[in-house]
Amino acid sequence: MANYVITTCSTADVSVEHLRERQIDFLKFSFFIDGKEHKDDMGQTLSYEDFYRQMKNGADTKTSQPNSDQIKEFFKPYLEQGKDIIHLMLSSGLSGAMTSAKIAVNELIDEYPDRKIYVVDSLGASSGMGILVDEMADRRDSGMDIDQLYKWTMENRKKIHHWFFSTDLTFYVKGGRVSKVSGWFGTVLKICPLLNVDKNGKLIPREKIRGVASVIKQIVKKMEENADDGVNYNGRCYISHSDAQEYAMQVKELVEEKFPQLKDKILVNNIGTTIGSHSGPGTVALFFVGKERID
Amino acid sequence: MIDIKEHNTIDGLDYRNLVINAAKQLQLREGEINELNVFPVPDGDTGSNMSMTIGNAAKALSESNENNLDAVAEQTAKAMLRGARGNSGVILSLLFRGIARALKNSKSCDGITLAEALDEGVKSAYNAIECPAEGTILTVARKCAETARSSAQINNSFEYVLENAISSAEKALSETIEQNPVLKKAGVVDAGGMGWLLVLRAMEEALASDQSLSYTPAIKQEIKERADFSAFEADDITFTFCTEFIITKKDSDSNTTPLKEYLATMGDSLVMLDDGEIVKVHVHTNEPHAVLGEALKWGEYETVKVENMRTQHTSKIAELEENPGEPLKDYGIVAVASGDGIEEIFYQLGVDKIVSGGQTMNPSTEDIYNAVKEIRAKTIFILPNNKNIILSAEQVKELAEENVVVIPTKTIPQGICSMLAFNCDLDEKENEQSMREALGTVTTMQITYAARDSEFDGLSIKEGDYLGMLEGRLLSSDKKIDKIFDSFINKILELNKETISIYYGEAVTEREAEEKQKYLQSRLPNAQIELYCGNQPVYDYIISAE
Repeated sequence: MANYVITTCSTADVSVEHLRERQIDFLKFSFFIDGKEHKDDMGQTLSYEDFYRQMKNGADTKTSQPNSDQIKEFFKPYLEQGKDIIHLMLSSGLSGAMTSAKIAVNELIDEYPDRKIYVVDSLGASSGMGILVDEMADRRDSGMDIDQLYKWTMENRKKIHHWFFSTDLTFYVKGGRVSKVSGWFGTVLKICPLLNVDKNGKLIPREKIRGVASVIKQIVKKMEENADDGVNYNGRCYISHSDAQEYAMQVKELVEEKFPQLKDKILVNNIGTTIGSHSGPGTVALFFVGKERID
Repeated sequence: MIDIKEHNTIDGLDYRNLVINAAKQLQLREGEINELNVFPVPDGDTGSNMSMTIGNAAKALSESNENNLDAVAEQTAKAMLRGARGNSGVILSLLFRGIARALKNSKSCDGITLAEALDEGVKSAYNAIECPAEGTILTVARKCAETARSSAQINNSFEYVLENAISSAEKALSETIEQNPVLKKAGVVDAGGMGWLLVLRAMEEALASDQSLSYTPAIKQEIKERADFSAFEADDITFTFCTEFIITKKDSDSNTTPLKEYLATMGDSLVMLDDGEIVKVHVHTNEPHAVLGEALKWGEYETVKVENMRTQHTSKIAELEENPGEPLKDYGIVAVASGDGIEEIFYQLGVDKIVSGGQTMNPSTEDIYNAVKEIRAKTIFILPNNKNIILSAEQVKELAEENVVVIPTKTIPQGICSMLAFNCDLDEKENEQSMREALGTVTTMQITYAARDSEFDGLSIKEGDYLGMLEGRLLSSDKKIDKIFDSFINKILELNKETISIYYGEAVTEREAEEKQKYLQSRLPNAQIELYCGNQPVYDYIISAE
């Protein structure tokens, strides 16, 4: 048993059960529905169906990152037990949580001078963080120590590819995660923008695709182009979606068709309430491991 | 004293007459040139485009007092550059630009100079065209410049060289039919080449005239969906008052032709309609009081509107200049399109300014330039969306201070695809490349009707028949539109395309269009077929297959 713990955020978009099984605790972000604050406990108290239904009905949603005090409170119990911590944080390109974490860590180090606390900027989000934290847990389980694991994570974090599309970018723009750019919002032509997360952990609209059928083909094509070993890819492949089960399943089927080794191995998750507050319903995202993201 | 002018040389006054007469002749005979267009598609005819292009120069010369040869030639070239419409119009303007270049600092022009001028013109036209095709106006112009050069060695008289150039142009024109397979199938000579020959002949004819000629543009009802105030300069307004009125006729049987004749003497831009009961008049004049007084003889006024176009124009321009509006953007985009559905799609895709046209009438270089000027951006992309507008768009580079990039979109679907490829986060070169690459991903099919009887490749096409065009070339023609759709379906199957978009035109109802969509879907069960209301004129259906 390792003498350190791996933790991540409620934005990692795998199930609570999955994290529990892998012995990964998570830091709760907060979100607001029409001004009322909720803790993001990964769907335990408020179901995803319920959340997206309220959004569709026009509820106003916001999020708030944990402040340094909350992060300290989250880390403390482990430090008290004499455990070191390596935490995988939501991309600094999407949230200020990395900054809060640095403040928290500086104060904690004074209090617990013998402990190691590593906070890694994942430069990713959603099930992309899920893949990365699972990869970290694999290495923990096979005996890697915390220093090596930190080094490995820093070297490999940009190899997780995040591609996603949405039938509607309105929520992204409202939440300030994508800048309002004309041309990406063609309602007449039913444009489904295809986006990814760049090397700085920001969301970048990449291609304007007409129609869901075409964008599904295109997102799988991106995987063919970027995944390790191309169509022989045999690594982790996660899909997450915000109330878009049908499209997510279509992506899954097509991935299984093009990547025979992945048959029955793809994990489909919900996009949680924190990411979902900014994506809104209608997003489908595909995650896999490939060559390092260079733009 | 009998003055038999030898015309060994010409001066500025002569050159002016030459140009004006050429414009008059083209105006008279533009119909003949239009007839030579191979496909009887009702848009952008060569004769009309050439006539309007040189007409712009003739109009400028008529209104100016300039007599120096180099200045007159420069004025001609500039007016034609701005007024250039369609490929043939642009080439014509380039020929004249070369001439102006050769005549720079010349007060007179002899045979040798003429040969040089014709040669300069050909060079400047060939330089501007990416893939010059033989059997076109370019070939005709080149051969007659070659002849001019050798003739000038024999006799340095302007008239002698011009005569020889004309004979050479006639021969070259008759050869175009053999040089160009499309012309051969249709059994006609090249329309643009014919236009150039007519210009040269009109010039020779004008040599005989000692009087100063003047030019009046034909009254044409321009199809413009939006009034374009900056398209003309305040100086272009010769008649100040736009006068419009409707009168109820005293006597429905009375003949209003004398009124029309009177009005024609009072100003320009006359449009008059008499439906028996009422007479509707639009005229630009300096004496609205006199016009209204005369009209009163025919009946009672229903409505009268008189507007001072000078102040209107000035305030409109001032408005534009005072409100530069938005800050300087990295990119601006101008697209040529018509039909409110198509225009809306382009706006939603991020186009800043639409230039109306593309169908029925090709916009001039100046029309496009004016749209460019209204956008505050460092780089402006132009999407001509019609193969006959690409060159006019290219010429905008000569006028604009901004960095102008033309994406050579030949059809509306190509324009849409290149807008989809545009991404303001990319740099100019990357954008240009991905927008150009996008053109190759789409196949365009269009349905229109034959504007007149025609023969092509053994097919006899009757006026009103449906024409199926594939990438601008005739694919099928038939009385029944379904047959055209069948030919498209076969093509789509052959090309193995899966994403089909149908933009239906203004002459088509939604129901009709939905039936066509259903039919296509039944024949192409695997395709994703979307239907959009384009509301475009002339083309009942524009279909893109990706």
